[in-house]
Amino acid sequence: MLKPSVADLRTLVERRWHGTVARVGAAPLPGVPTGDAALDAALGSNGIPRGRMTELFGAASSGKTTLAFAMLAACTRAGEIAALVDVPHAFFAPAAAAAGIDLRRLLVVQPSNGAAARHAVDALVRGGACTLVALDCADRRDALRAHHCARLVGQAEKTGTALVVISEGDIPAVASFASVRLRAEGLTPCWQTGSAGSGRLAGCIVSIAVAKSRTAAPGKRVRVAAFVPDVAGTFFAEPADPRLAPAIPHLDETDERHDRSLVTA
Amino acid sequence: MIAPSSPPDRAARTACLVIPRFSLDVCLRRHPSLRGKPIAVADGVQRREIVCASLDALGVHAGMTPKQARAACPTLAVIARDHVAERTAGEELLDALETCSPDVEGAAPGLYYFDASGLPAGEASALGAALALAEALGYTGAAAAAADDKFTARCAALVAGAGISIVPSGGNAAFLAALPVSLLPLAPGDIERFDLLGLRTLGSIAALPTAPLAARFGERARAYARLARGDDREALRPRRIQAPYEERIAFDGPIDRLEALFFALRGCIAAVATRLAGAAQVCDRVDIILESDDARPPLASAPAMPSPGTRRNNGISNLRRSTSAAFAASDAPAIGMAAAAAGSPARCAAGRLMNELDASEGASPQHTVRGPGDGMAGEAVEVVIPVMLAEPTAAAATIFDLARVALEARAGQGAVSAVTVRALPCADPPPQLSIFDGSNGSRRAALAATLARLQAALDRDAVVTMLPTPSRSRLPERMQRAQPIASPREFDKAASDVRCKTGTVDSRTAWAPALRLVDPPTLMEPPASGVACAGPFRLSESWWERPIERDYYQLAGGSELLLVFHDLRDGQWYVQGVFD
Repeated sequence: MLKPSVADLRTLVERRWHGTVARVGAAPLPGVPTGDAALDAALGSNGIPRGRMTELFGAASSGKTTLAFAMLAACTRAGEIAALVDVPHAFFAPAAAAAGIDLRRLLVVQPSNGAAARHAVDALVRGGACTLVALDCADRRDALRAHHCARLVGQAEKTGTALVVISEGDIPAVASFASVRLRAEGLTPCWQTGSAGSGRLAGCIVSIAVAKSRTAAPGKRVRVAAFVPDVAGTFFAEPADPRLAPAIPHLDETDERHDRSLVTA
Repeated sequence: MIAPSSPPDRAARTACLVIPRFSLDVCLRRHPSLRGKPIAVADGVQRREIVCASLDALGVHAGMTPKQARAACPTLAVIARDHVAERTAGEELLDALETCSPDVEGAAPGLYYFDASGLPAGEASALGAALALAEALGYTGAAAAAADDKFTARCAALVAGAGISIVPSGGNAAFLAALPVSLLPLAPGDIERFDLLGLRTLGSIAALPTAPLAARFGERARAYARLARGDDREALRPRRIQAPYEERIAFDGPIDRLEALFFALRGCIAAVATRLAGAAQVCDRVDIILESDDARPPLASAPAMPSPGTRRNNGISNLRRSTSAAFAASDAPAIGMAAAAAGSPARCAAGRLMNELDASEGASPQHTVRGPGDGMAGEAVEVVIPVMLAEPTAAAATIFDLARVALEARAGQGAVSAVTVRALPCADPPPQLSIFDGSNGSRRAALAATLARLQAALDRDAVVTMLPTPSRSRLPERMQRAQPIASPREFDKAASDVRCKTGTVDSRTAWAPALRLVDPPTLMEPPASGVACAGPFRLSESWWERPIERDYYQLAGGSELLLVFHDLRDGQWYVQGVFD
């Protein structure tokens, strides 16, 4: 039996779905880097797309905020202005500074309710001054509905703003309108034993899966190491010297051994 | 110390005229019958604070409440401060001072500066003329001084009492050395701290090295040291009389659709912006004036409530009422109908664009009711919608964008017969763009427009930059400071605050786990034994007020990775944050 060619497959799919299949090799959308080359590659080499909605979702301690901070850090480091709409008022500036965010280029909006948050996101996206606008609406299921998402996506497309929604994955409208959905699958802690017997949290391994992508093939999985610059109470006073940090190798989907060997919890 | 005559050559000299009881003198000009009696001027919240008292009011001083002042001087008459009259009097005085120098500045009520560089008749003559002008206008006890900078000139005028004094060029530091520290613009509490350290004169502060002083008092101490050394870098800001730029379009018939209004508005704004840009000027406020007449059938759906502040004229001249506040603060409808406010049904006909002003206290337009008759048919209504720009600009797109937001934000829309755009150039120079590295003017204008939109939609305190302040405390809930941001300038200011620890951007690209703060900390059950955790990390703070003793742990509880602490004072366990 002859193997079907790509053209045959295309014809079959187009006949089945009554539409045209996008041609391979189309110009990739401009994007905002995520701060990790492997994740950028999984998303199609340009990071998260500009002018589109991206959802970062996961349960508490899944790593979604770490991922968002990495994106904000990459954006502000490039000299762009970013904004974070912090609905739960959970933003912690020292942690953001430690994650590499240039706080001088980050606009933080802390609205008092969901409606104010929607107004804020709308103003930020329509203004076009911010390259990346992140809306943190974890544990706020009613923050965005379908018509809000439609309006925001339309405005983002006009201004080329990358809109990132941080959620727990329980907002159907966002899941539907998002061009890219990244699932944070959990933080795997890495403990470091101290000389006095008490240990410290040396870092974590963040697992991220591309749950949905309209710009690249979904299903890829990336794991990134994130280390804590300092300990609680005294942490983040000064940017940590990465040379002093414990050696946590960069992990990807092909290397499954490291978390087994490092995690002692 | 004080030379009687002016030195021959100098680069820059500043003269200062101080009128110590300016508020009182302004009141006395309005009420001359009170002259010679013990009187005091009250201001502040509900006029609860005496700001100025006459020499006859024995025992009364600034800061007293009127009740305390009357207890000290039973025959005292207390007058409310009149800010409008003070502004008018200040402008009048500046007009007079322009005979001494072309560059005059009104820094505050009763405090005026003028450029004394290279005056042909000498500084003494100019200062004498300034004093004579002040006396002729009815101000008593005025003092004038000249020095190399504004701070020294002001100090010289204050310590000289009535009369003139001239600090020789280059003699600032020597002159200031013996003066008290209280002359500095000190932050609250600083004078007590200086006193505890034995620093009571400007000379003692000037003699100290700046860095340790800044380490102890903060960055403002650098400014203190500069002023104490006679190195005030604030330049004279001469008064400029600016004429507004105005464009008006009158329609053939009343229009009641926003799109048509925007079309006309865009043209007006473009013309005004072009004229501003051509004159190398910017503006920070634009007034949109909507005109309507009630010669046509009314379109308003509901009459507005009577407004106590609305005025109307009986014939020719325009009368204008200004309510309050800025448009940015008003979620409520802000286009009002002044004609409806007088109670006549005929006056409710200004159209859908003109309604509902007084439904809310946050409304902010100004109204002009004009036309013949006592508010009967034929009366025209003007509504002035102020559009505050977050950043001075001459960009038509930005101004139009915000004007559209201002109009769209108002409830009720209807007929307008003419629209006028009026822009008053601001005195400040256009902003510097260098701080926004890599961002051009249009990006900055977009940011200004975005901030204005946010201000219109949210509370002022909701839009901030968050900066870590580890030097203030080690407690996570106290380790950050929110700086409200209303304009790109405030963004710049927050960025340049060197007291925060983010002065250098961490250039590494490694990730760090984010901590979601739980503020206030929530109670939790004590962790079970055998749970993976790290710690404790002891924190003890505030032993002098509310002692805090905590043992922090990083805890893997269930599926979550938490930052928790054990409060050693109450024995409870709390969740401080969630690593996410």
